[in-house]
Amino acid sequence: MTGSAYSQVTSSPYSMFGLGTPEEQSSGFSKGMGGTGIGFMSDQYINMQNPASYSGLDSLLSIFEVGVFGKYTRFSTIKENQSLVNGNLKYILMGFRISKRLSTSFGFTPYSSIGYNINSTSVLGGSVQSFDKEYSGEGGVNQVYLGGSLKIFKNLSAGVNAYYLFGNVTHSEASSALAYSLKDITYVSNITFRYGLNYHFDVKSSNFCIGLIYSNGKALNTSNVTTVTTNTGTTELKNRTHNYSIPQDFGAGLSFRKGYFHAGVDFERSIWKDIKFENPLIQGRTSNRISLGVEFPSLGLNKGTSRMMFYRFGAEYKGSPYIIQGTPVNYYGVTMGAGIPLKGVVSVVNVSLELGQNGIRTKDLFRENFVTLHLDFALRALWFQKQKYM
Amino acid sequence: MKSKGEGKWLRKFLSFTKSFIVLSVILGSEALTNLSCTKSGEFTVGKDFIDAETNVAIVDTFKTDVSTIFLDSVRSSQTGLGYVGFYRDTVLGSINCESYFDLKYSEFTAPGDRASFDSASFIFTYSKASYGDTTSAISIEIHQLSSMIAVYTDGYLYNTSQISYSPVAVGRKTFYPNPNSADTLLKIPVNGFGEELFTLIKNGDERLSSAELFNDYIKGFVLIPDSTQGNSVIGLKADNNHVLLKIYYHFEDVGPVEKEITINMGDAAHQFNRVRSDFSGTPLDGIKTSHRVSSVNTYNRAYMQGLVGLVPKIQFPTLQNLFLSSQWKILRSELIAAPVANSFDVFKLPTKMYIYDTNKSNVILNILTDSKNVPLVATFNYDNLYNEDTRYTYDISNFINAEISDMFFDYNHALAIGLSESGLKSSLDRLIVECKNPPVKLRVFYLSY
Repeated sequence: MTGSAYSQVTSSPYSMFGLGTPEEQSSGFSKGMGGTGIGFMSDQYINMQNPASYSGLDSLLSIFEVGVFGKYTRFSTIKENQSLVNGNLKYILMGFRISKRLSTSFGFTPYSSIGYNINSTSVLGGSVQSFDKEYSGEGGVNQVYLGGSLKIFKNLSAGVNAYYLFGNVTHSEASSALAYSLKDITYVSNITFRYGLNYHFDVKSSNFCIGLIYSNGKALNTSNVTTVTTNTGTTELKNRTHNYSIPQDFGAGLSFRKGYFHAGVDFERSIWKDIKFENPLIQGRTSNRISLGVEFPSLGLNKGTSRMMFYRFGAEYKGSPYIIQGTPVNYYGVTMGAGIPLKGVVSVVNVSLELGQNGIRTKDLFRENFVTLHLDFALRALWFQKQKYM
Repeated sequence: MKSKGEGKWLRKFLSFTKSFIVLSVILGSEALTNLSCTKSGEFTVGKDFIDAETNVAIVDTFKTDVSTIFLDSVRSSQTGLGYVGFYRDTVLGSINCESYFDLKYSEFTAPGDRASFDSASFIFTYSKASYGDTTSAISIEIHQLSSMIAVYTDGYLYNTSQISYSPVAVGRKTFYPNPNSADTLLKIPVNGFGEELFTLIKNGDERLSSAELFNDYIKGFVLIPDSTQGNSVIGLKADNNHVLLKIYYHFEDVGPVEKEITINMGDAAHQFNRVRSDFSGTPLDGIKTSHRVSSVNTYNRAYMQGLVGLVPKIQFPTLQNLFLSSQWKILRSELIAAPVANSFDVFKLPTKMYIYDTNKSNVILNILTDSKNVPLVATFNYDNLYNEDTRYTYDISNFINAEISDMFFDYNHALAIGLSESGLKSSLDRLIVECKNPPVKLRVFYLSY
């Protein structure tokens, strides 16, 4: 079980390409706002999308967040429908302010995930017969990061996340009828960085914040172990190579805040077109992500108190990182969510529901329609100061 | 008022949310341990753009050299089956079967002075195994052996074993065989011999006083077919309970009282069949024992027949070519042999065919087994309808894999297809293997990666 429990975060046949399905880097509040977060500087949550945002963290609090999700997906081809349910841990994040100017965050979150099981048939070469064959994939790339944010001026912060990427890309093929299996495991690792800037300013009683992010593309270090098992035994091959890279990534975001009302928009571009996919049917392309979201508080008695709830809505479009025989697998989604304050260990639960669609139904391709429930448990502790008044 | 109402609603909502969260956490942890709920074996979406890393191909163009081995001898004793008859056809010439057995001694009770002999018969039971034309009358003689049946040092007797017998028959019968009947008995009268024995019993003769003396006096019997009558070989049950000598007599009391003496067949190890074949005028004419004749010289046919000792041998002259590439494995190897069309009207095709390995000396070595050490039996496909696709398929993966494991294929380590070990010594089942259209095929399933 290499790849640990975090490996099968998605479960989609589309995850068979490259490093798997790229995972959203949004968390907490952002999940309910279509993943919008580049231009946000929250004092309540960790926003790992833009490392410069840690400067906004409340000086009194250390924040610990755990995210999990459950996903129901319906796959439709032009001929049939199939569905599956999966779920997993999404992230563990920690963040706090070290000094007046310096804040930090660290955590664990997947970069990509692979999880598929496909039953197919294959032609027996040299005959008209065919045999049943099962393809499966697992693994994915995990990342642990350590980030820091520096308040350069009152309104300008700069931050960086250093990631250690590690994991494996595992594809297996097996036929029980012919009693063989092949398991191709490529272990990947490397260190990458994401840089962020955040600038905020006030116009009358409104606050605006602009965020910029950049990550450089990088080839991952790989080592491969392929095992072939038949009735006569197992052969281990170490001479195979598969190359995997992560793309260069740019993003810009803008957010607006007035009182407890919050809105934001993100634009992000990932240069997958420089990335080579081994599958001859697949070609990388430049992928754009556009999202927007709003957050507003509950009205009435609790407004302005620690028992105030927040409601969130958002929408997201994410261009496919590749085209399959000319067809992109684009994602569209709408989200809604709520931030629910609690008494006890967990201070806030952010519940978000994502209704999404991935890909289209064509002759060879399929569409995924899914409903994902994201749960984010935020724990806030007063580490550095005595509680004065709440 | 309004605000208060909203507060109440919110509290309810919050308590609901708490329960919801607890439930979600439970479900979430469930999801952590059980990542995907889709049943494997059913999910097919995505199969159209898989970039497969493995391919399996069948290659069946390996040449096979097929020949017919004429075994030196076939063990034929202790089978519980006696064959007697003469069969001739143009395919394999003639077969002459003689069945040998001896009698079991038991202490005789004197029937008394007043007893008088009526008749005596050997009584046999059909075994249901028969070959050839059983609708014509055949003629069988029973002769007394002139020397005792003695096994070889290995404890067995063979289809080639000879025991001398008296040229004068003690009994003879011409009859229409009824081999498929379970309750019809075959009776061969032996009145002369029976009366002589009866007299010795009646007189308490010393020759009947012990098993040794008895078996020296009555050494055994052989059933001999008359090759001029009929064209079939019939099978008889050959065990203590189904080969009987009965002597019928009576004595006068108030009226006549009828009695009988029953003598059973003797040592099962002494029961055997002698099978002589004559291939004159057939493609196998001139074949020597322990030798083989290539199917090229026998009209592209290879022959199998149980007790006659004919076994098709298969060699693979081009398997060494398997080693040309390295990125592959053999997943399965099948040997496919088909009978010659229309060759199984008289001799029904055996449904269970086995396979052995053999060597340069044409000696049958071991029966091939599967991974569970069970003798490998061919999958028999009988094309009832068109008679075109009838064939035997053997999964000989273990043999081929073991052969190539040292990167050398020994041409002389060959295969021989035949009946089961017991079938070989106890039946005359026949199979004529087609060697050209189609040839005997070796089908190799290659995995390349």
